[in-house]
Amino acid sequence: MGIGIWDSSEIWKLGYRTAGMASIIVQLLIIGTLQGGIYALAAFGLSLIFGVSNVLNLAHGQFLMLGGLFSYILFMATKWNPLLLSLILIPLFFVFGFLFERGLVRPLLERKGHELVIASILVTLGASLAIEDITSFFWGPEEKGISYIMPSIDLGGMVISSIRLLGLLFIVLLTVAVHLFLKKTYTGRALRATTQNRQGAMLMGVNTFRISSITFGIGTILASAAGVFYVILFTITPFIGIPLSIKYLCIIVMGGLGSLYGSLLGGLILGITEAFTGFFAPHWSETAAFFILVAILLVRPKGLLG
Amino acid sequence: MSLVPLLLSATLVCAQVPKEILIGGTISVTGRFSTIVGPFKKLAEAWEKQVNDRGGIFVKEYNKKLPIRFIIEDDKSDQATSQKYYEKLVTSDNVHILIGPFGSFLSFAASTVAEKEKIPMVMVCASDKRLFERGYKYSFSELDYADYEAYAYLEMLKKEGKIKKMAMLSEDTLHSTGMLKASVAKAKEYGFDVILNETLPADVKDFSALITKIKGLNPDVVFCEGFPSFEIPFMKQALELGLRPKEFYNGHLTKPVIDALGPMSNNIAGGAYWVPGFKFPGKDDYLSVLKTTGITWDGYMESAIRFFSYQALQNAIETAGSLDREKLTNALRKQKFVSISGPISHKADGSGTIIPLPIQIHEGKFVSIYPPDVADGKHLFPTPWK
Amino acid sequence: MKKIHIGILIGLLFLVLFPHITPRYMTAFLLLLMMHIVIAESYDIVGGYLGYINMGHSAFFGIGAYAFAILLNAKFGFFLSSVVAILVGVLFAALISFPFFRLRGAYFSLATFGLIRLLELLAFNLKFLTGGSSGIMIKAEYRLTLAYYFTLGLCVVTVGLISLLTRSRLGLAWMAIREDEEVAQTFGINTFKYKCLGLMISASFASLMGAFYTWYIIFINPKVVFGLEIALVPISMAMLGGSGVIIGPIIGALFITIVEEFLWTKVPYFHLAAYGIAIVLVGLFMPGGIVRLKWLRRPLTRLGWLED
Repeated sequence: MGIGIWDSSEIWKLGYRTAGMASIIVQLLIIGTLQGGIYALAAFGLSLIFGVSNVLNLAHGQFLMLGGLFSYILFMATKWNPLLLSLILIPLFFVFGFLFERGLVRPLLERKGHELVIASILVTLGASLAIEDITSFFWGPEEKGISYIMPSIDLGGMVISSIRLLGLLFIVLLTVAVHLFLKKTYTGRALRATTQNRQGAMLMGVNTFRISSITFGIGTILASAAGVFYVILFTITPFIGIPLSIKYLCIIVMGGLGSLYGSLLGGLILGITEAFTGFFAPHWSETAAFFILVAILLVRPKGLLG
Repeated sequence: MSLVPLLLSATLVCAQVPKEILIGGTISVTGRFSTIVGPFKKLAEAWEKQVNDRGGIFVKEYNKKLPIRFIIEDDKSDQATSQKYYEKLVTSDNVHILIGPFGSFLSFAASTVAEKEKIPMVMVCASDKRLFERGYKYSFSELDYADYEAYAYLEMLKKEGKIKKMAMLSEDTLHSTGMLKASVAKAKEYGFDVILNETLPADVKDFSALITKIKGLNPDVVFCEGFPSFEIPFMKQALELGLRPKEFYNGHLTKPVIDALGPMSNNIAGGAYWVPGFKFPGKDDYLSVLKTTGITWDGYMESAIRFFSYQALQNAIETAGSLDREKLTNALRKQKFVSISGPISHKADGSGTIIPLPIQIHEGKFVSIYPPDVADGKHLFPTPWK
Repeated sequence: MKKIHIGILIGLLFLVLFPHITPRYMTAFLLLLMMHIVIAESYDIVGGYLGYINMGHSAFFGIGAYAFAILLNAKFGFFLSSVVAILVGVLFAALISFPFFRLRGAYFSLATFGLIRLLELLAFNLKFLTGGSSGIMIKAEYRLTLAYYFTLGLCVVTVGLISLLTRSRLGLAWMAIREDEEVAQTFGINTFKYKCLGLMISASFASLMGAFYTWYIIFINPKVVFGLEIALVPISMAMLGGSGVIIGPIIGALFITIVEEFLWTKVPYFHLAAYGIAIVLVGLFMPGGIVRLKWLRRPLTRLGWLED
C-alpha cells in the first residue's frame, strides 16, 4: 500500500534484530502514555465542563491556543522558564472561562433537547471563529514556538522526554486533586450534584449557575495549561483551535460524556494508538486514532465509561 | 443590461490611453494559507507605491510611464472563491494582467480563467508539475518544478562526497509529497543510501516513535520536508530525544524555526529563494518594500517569490511595450532577465527556472552555502554536537 | 397561493437567463450560492425534520466528489459518473445508518463529525484510489455556464422534492421522531426505517452536488471536500436561516453569502470574526433562525411557508 509501509516493515525487522521487540514495545508504551497525558489534560477540562453544563464547548481548543499564545508572549518578553510563567496565567484563564460562561453559555442552560445542541454549537463555534480571527489580526497568523528544551531522561537506551513526563505528572496530580475536591469539599459535591441532576441540586440550595461558571473557569485553566505544553513541544497558530476542539470532544465522547475518568482513559488510548501506529505505519497514525474512536462509539454508544 | 452599449464603451476605452495599469489577483488573507501569505496584500501595496513613486512602468505604445494599481481580493484559501474573483477581475474590473494566488492548489482553478479569457497570468509559488501538463498558454511560473526544490542541496552533498546514509520524510500535502518523491529519486541517483522514506499526516504532532526508529538506523543526514508546523515539532522532538545525525535538512527553514529551537538550530541546512548574501539586482528595492510592510524576509520567505513575480510582471510590460494581452503573453513567454533570486526565463510549458539554493543557519542567521559563486559562507559539516 | 406560484416561475425564468444578462463572475457567485443551498437543504432533512444534528453531512458531498472524479478519469463519462456518485453516497448513508442511529443527541453529532475527519484521513491514505494528498484532477476545461445550469437544476429539484416529501407521510413520521422518538415508536412508527430513509435521501442530493462541484472546479483533494469549511458553513446556514422549514436554509444561505460578498469585500479585515459574532448572536437570541423571528413569523405563516 505505498512506499511508506513497505519501508517501515523492512525497518521494523531491522529494529527487531538490533533492539529486541520487547524493548521497542515498552518504549512505545511509554511514549504513548506520555502523549496520552497531554491529551488527557485538555480532555479532562472539557469533560468537567460538559458534565456540569451539558454544552459541547467548541471554543475549548481556542483557550488552549490562547494559553500557548500568552505563554509564548510572556516567554519572548522575559525569557523566564515558561512552565513557571504559566502560573501567572492560571487566574487569568479562570476569569476568561468564568466570563465566557456567564456571557455566552448561561443563556443556553435552560434549553432542552436538540435546541440546546444547535444553540451550543452556534454559540461556541461563532465565538471560536471570532477569537481565531482577532488573534490572527493582532498577533499574526504565523507559527509560534518556544525554544525551551529540557534534557531527556536516558534509561539504558530508552529515552523519556522530560517535558512530557512533567505533563503526565501534572495530570496525575490534577486527577488526584480533583478527585479529592469532588469528594470532600462543598463546592465539589455541589458540582457532582449539578452533574447528576440539575433540578435536584437547585432544590437542595445549590447555586447551579455559579457552579457552572466556576467549572468553566477550571476547565479553561486546564485547556490553557495544555496550551502551554503545546507551545513548548510543538507550535501553535491561531487556527489550531477548532480542529483541536473537535479532537478533544471526540476523546471525551469516546470515554463517555460526563465521566472524568473516561476522558483520561480516552486520552490514554489515543496516545498509545498513535505511538504504535507511528512506529509501524506512520502514514496511518491519525487514521487509526479516529478509527478507534468511531469503532468504540459504535460498540459502546455511550462511550467507554458512560 | 444590453450588450451593445457595453461593447461600444469597451472599444472607446481601448482607443484611449489607459490612465493606469491594472493588475488583478487574489491573496489568501484568511483560511489555511494565511499563515504563509496572509499579510501579502501589504506587499502588493508597498510595491505599487515604490513603482508609482518612480512614475510607474514605461509602456512604449503610449510613450510614457503609467502608474500601476493592484486590485486584490481575499480568496479565503478556497479554489472556488479564487476562481470566482479572477472572473470578476477580468470581466468586471477589466484588469490588464493577472498575478496568481498563492500556491499550486489554488492556481489549478485560477489559471483556467486566464486560459479561457486569454489573459496572461504570472503565477506565484505555483510549481506542481501537473499545472504545466495541461498545455495552457497563458499562465507562467518563475519557479522550476516543485519536485526540484532540494536538487541543489543534494548536488552539493554529492560534490562534497562526505555522506552515505539518508533518512527522508515529509508531511502528506500536495507540495511536500511531490518534492520528497523527486528528492528520494535524485538521492538514489546520486548513490546515497535512502534508509527511510516516509510521509506522515500533516497534523501529526508526536514523532517520538518515528524518531526512535530513525535513531536505530543511524543516518548521516536527516531530511525533513514540510511546513514549519510540521518541521518544528519534529526537530524539537528529535533534538530532545537525542537524534544526532551529521546534518539536519529542513525543507522550509524560516525564522520561526530559529525562534522555536534557539541555539539548537545552529547548523541546520535548508533552502531559500533569497538570502541577504545574494548579489543579484533589485535587492535594495526588495528590502525597502519589506521595510514599509513590516514583513521580514526570513519570517515570510515566500515574500521573495512574490517580489520576483512582480519583477517578472514589470519586465513583461516593459519588453512588450504594450498592454495588449497577446503581446504581454508573448513577452512573458520569451522573457529573460535577472531577478533578485537569479536569472528567470520560461520553459515551453510555462514553468520557470528558479529553484531554492542551499542555506545553513550560522549563529541564528541564514547563510547561503552553495553554489560557490553565490555563497557567502561555508558549509559547516558535520554539525559539531556537544 | 396562485400569486406565489407565478412569483416562483418568474424567479426561475430570471435564474435561467441569468448567465446571459450578468457579468460572468455573478454567475460563479450564484453557482456557489446554489451549491450551498443544496447542501444546507439536504442537511436539514436529517438535522431539521428528523432532529438529528448530522455534523457529518458533508461526508456525502466528499464521497460523491471522489466517486465522480475517479470514474470520470476512468473514462466513464459524465452521466454515468454522476449516477454512480449518487449511488455510492446513498449506499454509504444506508451502511452508516445501522451503527450511527443507535447514538443520540450530542453523541450522534460528534460521531458524525468524527466520521468526516476519518474519511479525510482515509482519502489521504488510500493513495491508489484517491491520489492521496496530490488529489485528483479531471480534464481541465472551462465549464462555468454548464455547471451553473446543472447546479440550478439540482437546486430546484432538491428544494421541490424536499418540499413535497416533508408534506407527505414521510415528513410527518420524521417530525414525530424529532418531537419524541420513544412515543413515536410506541405508536408503531418504524423509527429506524424512516431515519435511514431520511439519511439516504439527504445523501443523494449532497453527493450529486459533490460530483457537480468536482466537474466545475476540476481539482479536488481531501482537505477541500472533507474539510471544515464545507462541513460547517452549510449547516450553520441552515441553522441561521431556520432549521426544519423549507425556506430556512435558503434564507440562511442568501443572508450569509450576500453579506459576505457585498458588505465585507469593502472591509479588509475581521470577516471571519464578524461571521462568528453573527453566529453567536443567532445562537443566543434566535436559535430558531431568522425565519422564526417574531416580526417575520406572522407574514411567513400566512404565506404558508412556516408552520407552527
